[in-house]
Amino acid sequence: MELHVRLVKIWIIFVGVMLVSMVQAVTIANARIVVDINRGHANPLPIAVANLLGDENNIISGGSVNDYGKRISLVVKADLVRSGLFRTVASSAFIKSGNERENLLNPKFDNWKAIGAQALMNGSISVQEDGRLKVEFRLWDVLAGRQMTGFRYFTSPKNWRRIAHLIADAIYQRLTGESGYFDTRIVYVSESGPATHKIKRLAIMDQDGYNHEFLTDGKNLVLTPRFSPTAQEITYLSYNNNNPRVYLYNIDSGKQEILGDFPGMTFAPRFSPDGNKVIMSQAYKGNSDIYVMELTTRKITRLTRNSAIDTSPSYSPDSRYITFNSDRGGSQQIYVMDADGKNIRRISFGKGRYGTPVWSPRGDLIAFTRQYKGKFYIGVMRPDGSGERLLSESYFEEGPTWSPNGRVIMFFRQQPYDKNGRGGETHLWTVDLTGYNEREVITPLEASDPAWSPLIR
Amino acid sequence: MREALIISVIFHAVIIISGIVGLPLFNRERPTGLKVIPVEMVKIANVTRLKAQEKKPDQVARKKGLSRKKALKRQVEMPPPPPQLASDMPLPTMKAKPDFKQKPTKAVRTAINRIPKITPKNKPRRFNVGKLAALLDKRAASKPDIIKRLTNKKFGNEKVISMVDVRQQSLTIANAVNKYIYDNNCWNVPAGAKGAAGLRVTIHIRLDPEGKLIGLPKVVGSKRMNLPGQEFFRTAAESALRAVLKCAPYNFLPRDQYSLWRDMEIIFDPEYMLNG
Repeated sequence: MELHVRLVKIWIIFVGVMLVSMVQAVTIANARIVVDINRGHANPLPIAVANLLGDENNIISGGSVNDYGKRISLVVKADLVRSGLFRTVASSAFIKSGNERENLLNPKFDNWKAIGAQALMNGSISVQEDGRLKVEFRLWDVLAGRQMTGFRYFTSPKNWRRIAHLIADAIYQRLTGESGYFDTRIVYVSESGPATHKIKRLAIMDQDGYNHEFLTDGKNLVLTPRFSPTAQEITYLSYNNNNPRVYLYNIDSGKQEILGDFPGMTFAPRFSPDGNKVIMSQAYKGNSDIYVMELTTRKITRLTRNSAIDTSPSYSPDSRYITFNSDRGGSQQIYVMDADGKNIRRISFGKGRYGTPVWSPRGDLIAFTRQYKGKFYIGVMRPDGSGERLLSESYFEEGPTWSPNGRVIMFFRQQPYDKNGRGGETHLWTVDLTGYNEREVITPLEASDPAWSPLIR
Repeated sequence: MREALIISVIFHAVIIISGIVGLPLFNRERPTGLKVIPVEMVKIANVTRLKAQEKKPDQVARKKGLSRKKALKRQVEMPPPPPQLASDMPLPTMKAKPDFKQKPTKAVRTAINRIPKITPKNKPRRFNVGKLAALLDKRAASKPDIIKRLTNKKFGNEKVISMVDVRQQSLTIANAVNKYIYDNNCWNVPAGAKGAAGLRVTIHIRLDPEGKLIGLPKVVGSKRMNLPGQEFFRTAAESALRAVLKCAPYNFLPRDQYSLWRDMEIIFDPEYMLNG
């Protein structure tokens, strides 16, 4: 019996040792290296934008079909480069081989890899029997050798710029994951004449400065134009016989209506995210407070009751909160309150004065103007006041407005006057959230107070 | 009962013995020819660095029956002494006391002629301030680039003997791949990403012994890429795929460790870049 117990013990030890050895051997054989990468680069993505192929001999108004293809490609390139997220590969570096028409569907990826492109856009353009343009494009992942997206558009030749913006938006969206902002418009106050007698007209243009148009004749002073987030409508303030009124203007139909006559001064009307309300500040007997008006019923509700100056209200994208600036704490600072005017809390605590807060369409940031030590800054902070970042700085700049995807901010900047009183021109500028991609938007005259439209539907 | 027990014991013993005897056979290395190992016979004095007293030429000659002249000639044919370092020689600008009594030998004259003439302009300085940092910082000398170390490392016939070794080697390879992807600008972090915390992407790659990719890299959990509302994840995954493709081939990896890096998982986490 003792022998039996010993044998069992030995057996258990042997089996145990063998099992451990086998487990270790299997583990070693199956060991897989795991590489954890959390450092990368933030360089613009190299993309090759080929000209859309068209018939050179087919002449329509404004040039050959092939010329239209080239123009569309140029606008697509310009849009992508302006975003700061893309770098276009010079077309002089393109390697041409084989039939270009056949290459549209089967690009020679090795050729594109060789010139450093990581994405490729190609396509074609033709004219339909009804005179409309047929534009189609494809976006290719050069390294993986596969198509990422592709669209076909039909439009009249005069809309060719819009087609280019739509293509740029599709490429931007596919490669960044967020919606684009190229097929959008800017409404702003165009200024001309001497500083003491400036003529201010409402003007509208594409986000890249083209297709410029004046909406008012300049007889009456116009201020604070704001786009509806849901429709091609704008509100603005106009002085008619020194009587300030808030107007509602439909861009598509050209119809204009008076939103209301308000006692006292009315400032900064702005739409709610659903487009059904307009929030504004109103000065009455020397006291400015925040009011909201239902557009359907024209019912007005007062949201703040304070002896301080409360102005520049802006809704959060979910309509639950409102941000505004107030000097109730002694200096002008940014506050956030619930949509019904309750639970007011201050969110800016830096040195200097904060003003013109605008909630990002993404909801994660609030853009503002800060004045400190004789300079003006455009910056962003989180809705709780944390993470303040100043994106641009100059002698005077103000009036931030967000691109519909919440990535770019447009504002106006005034140059300082020199000793002879010259200078002081105001122009529009954009800066992205990195703060590195700052660009001027070219306008025919001086410009101020821009408002960015939602994507055109 | 007893019979059954005996049979059971015998049966188990047979399995254990066959396991002990048989299993190592599978893992035993087959003879691959004998290795030639040079064996040098050395005197114990060489090992202990104690030199035996050199015999004088006269003694050698007497012992071997050679004349003194022949013995001297044999001594001249001995390997020459190591060349004198230039830095040990007196510089031309330095006024060394001439020794007129003894003329320099031919070998010394040749050596002197080979010394480049040093003008006062490029006269070596005993203390170089510019090299102070190098003198203080010994890291570069003691710790070369990880990819170079990995490439130069001679694993020879090393055998993987424990999990600790495997882990150490895996870590070295993982660090090298990480550095390679960063140094070659392969990963462009998706700029528009929102909610970076959920954008961690794992890519599985399989490599051949040359370090080239076998097939296309695969995104672990790739179904998420096609779900609505996951555009940012898709963008992050595609940027990770581009990084892996752009950096291929990974030909700096040690070939004798191929079994370790044949399959790799590369995790791309943009959170630090976007929120850091």
